[in-house]
Amino acid sequence: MEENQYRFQVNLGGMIEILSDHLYSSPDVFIRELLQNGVDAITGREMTDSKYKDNKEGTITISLEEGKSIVFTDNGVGLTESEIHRFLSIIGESSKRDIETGRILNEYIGRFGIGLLSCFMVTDSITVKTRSSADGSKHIWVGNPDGTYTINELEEDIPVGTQMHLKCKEGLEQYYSADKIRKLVNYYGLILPYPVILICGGETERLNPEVLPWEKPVTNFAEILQFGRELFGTEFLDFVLIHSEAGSISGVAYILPYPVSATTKQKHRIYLKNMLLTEEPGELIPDWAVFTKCIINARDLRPTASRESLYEDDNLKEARENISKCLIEYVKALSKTDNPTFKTFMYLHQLAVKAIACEDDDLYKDFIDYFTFHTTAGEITGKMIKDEGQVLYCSHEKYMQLAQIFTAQQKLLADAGYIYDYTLLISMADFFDVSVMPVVGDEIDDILCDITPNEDEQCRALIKAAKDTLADYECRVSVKRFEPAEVPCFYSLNEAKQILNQIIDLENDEGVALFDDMLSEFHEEFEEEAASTLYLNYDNPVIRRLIRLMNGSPSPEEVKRARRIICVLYVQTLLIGNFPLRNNELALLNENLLGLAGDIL
Amino acid sequence: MMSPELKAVSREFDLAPNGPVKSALAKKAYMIADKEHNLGKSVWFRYKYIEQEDFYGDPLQLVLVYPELLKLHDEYVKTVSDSYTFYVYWSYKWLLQNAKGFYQISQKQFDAFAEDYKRRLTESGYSLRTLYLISAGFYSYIDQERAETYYKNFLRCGRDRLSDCAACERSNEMNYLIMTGRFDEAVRLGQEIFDNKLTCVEQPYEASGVLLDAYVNMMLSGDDSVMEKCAWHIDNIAKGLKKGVVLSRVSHIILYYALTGETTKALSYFKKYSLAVHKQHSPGVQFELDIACAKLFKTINKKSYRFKLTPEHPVYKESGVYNCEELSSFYLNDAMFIAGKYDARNGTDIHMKRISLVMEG
Repeated sequence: MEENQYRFQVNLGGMIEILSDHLYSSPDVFIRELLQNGVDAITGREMTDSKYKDNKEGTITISLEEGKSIVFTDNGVGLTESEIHRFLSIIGESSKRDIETGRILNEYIGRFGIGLLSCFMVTDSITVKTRSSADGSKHIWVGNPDGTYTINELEEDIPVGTQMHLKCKEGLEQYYSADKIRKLVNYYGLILPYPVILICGGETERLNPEVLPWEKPVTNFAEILQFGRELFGTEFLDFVLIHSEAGSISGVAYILPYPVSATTKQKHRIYLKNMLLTEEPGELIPDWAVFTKCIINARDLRPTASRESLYEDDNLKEARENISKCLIEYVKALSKTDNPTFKTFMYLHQLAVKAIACEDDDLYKDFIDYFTFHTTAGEITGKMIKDEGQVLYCSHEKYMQLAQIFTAQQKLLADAGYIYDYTLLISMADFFDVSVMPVVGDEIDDILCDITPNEDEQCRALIKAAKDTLADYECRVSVKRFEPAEVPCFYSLNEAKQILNQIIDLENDEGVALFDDMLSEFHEEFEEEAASTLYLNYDNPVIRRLIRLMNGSPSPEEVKRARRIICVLYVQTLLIGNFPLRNNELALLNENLLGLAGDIL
Repeated sequence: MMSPELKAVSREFDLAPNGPVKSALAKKAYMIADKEHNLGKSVWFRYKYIEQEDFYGDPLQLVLVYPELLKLHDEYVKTVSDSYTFYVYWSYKWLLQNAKGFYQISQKQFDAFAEDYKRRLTESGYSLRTLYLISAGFYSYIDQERAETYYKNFLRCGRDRLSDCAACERSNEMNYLIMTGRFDEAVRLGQEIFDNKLTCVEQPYEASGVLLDAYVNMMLSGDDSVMEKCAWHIDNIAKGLKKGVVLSRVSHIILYYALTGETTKALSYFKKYSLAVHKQHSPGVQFELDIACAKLFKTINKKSYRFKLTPEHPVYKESGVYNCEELSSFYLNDAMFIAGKYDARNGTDIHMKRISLVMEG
């Protein structure tokens, strides 16, 4: 060391405070760290003792005296005196580091040599009794949070392995209860490959399952669903087995039995080398898989220093892609069977998946075939629209007006007013050979055919009467021919007219006088472009009769009656098209219906 | 109590992500609430509708629905309680902030709004801080002395719960300072936003938009030294666009790329975002797109371009072949129309001058 070079002094008490306040999210993690050390010790012994490994002798035992103490025992590799000095007493040193290369061995869970410190969050001193499998030596180490420790040879006889003795810190008795230990072991160590045994009050119980249901040679569906129900407290709709070579991942994605928002962040169980790492989906579970709750074990991904999330690298990216593939393949496979689960799945989760497909091109391409759309041909799938090769779409309001006519003419019109359907429909043209067009003026002209000049001549009197009748409603009148003949009228208005209607409603409302100046400016602006038209159907018997009547020499009484009918048809058409009624249009309907009734009765 | 129908729509609303769908559901909900005479929900869902339209949709809808919201709110206060007052007054700020972008809202009308809002805030014991900053912004184009008085009042007033979030307030303040020629001060103020110490849904994206606009204006005045600072802000705005906010700032990106000759990049933004801007009915935002596109299509070194637009786009052609000169003059004409209206309202020639600066710069 150079003359003016110094070494940092570390205040262990301060370090513990930092760990508990900033590195670890709660004292709960002491169980995770103890389990982790135990598992690593067993792994270490298995690497040198094949008989021990073959007989699957590795065991972790937690002896609990409720409210007082915990003895956490593993029958793993144990520590020699020099190992105790190096690994228990130097922060940042880890017994899992290869002595030759200094690299962390992949078989181990822990990496940072700071896990033991987490125990100081629940105890004021740690006693470690250990017997090494290498030389049979036995030692006792006692560490204190002020950074002091003692080490002595152990007189009592203990088997190979390590015992960690913790005495309850005042006020933290809840961590020394069987329920809490059960809960924490279930949480952090549920899928550990070695038995974790709890001994408390003379009772012995195994806390983790012997074999994970999805790792059994034959998949037992009921058992896997039962496991999910016990783990997450939900009766799931279905599940997907997850596998990925990248990250060496296996697990289950459970399908939720209720709809969720596309922005929901589900809680999962993500384990690293069989030890719980996090509940957050992070970068491993695809954002769009909001309809799943996963339990996943990754054997070959890297944790961050806090061991509460995964380090982002190419391996993680590939693992995420593989999990995506498993889920997408599941939906694809499900869709190809008559399994009612697919219908239920789409019913529950289509909205969430649609929402995300709007933002994610790859997902869009994978799922578009299975989404359903509300059209004039009924509820049809994206695949059916692709096969059709073309589709027209319009807003929900317009759809309500046009659907009857498009259906009669067997033209495919999709209601793009449904959630996300607008974006999904127009994107079809970007990815596939499909013509996707909005219904604009031209298409309406296509379905509304011009009448002949001769017919036009016959209609003039009716058009004039209709225009006069509807003058107060700023509505043009035109006669066209369209199917179905049963529909007497069709009403159409442009966007400017819709906005103008909104403005007029406000202008008529005395309660918003503050805004008058602004409203009159907007009124002027939109009035120029606003247009609405009532199309009378030449093929409809009522309209034909009115044409004949008005084209003859109608009496004033007959003209009056014809005008009443026009008013009724106008309001009826607005109602069918779901247009909001304004300007006393409902009164107009009643007044003219009463007038017609008066004529008859 | 909500009816089962209103409950179902309300639930759908809660599940939907922000944007047009959520907005449509809010509208559907308030229409049902109106029918059922559920005054509280009529107020609440109008507020949510306005919120969606302001952040992700069409500001014209905010402007046209706010009068109903305010009226219904006042009725609710008289008959039930003031439990929605905070939200209604919060969204009053959005109306005032948008007033600058609508030439249809006259100075007289703005003053009437500001007076009404001031009375309401004072009666409810809220700070006038945000009102002063908005007023400073509105008058920065029209009467700088008056604007500065508002700004000084803003600095004197304390923050309260009705104040904009600290990040947005900072960004608005930066905008005002740039408008009044205090660029360095604005950059200094923005540092915390760009260091990610002050962030929110809209920041730092909006603040990047403010700075990019300023840099592009400097480039138009011949200062190319700022060019290298733009890329970082463009990336930021692009992130905001991905989140569905700061659509109004896309024009600065198009104009920047038009000025640097990176027309392929400019075209890609044009194709992706111009229809959404057109759909907004906001003349202020439309004006910025108009001048950017007029410049872009004037700059492009080709007679025509082939690209795909949807039929709803105002310049859509079935052939997919677009004549650059025609496009440039379409946007220029629209810009001239809007500039004429703005300058008439403001009694200035700022907008017309800006067109000249962009087209000749």
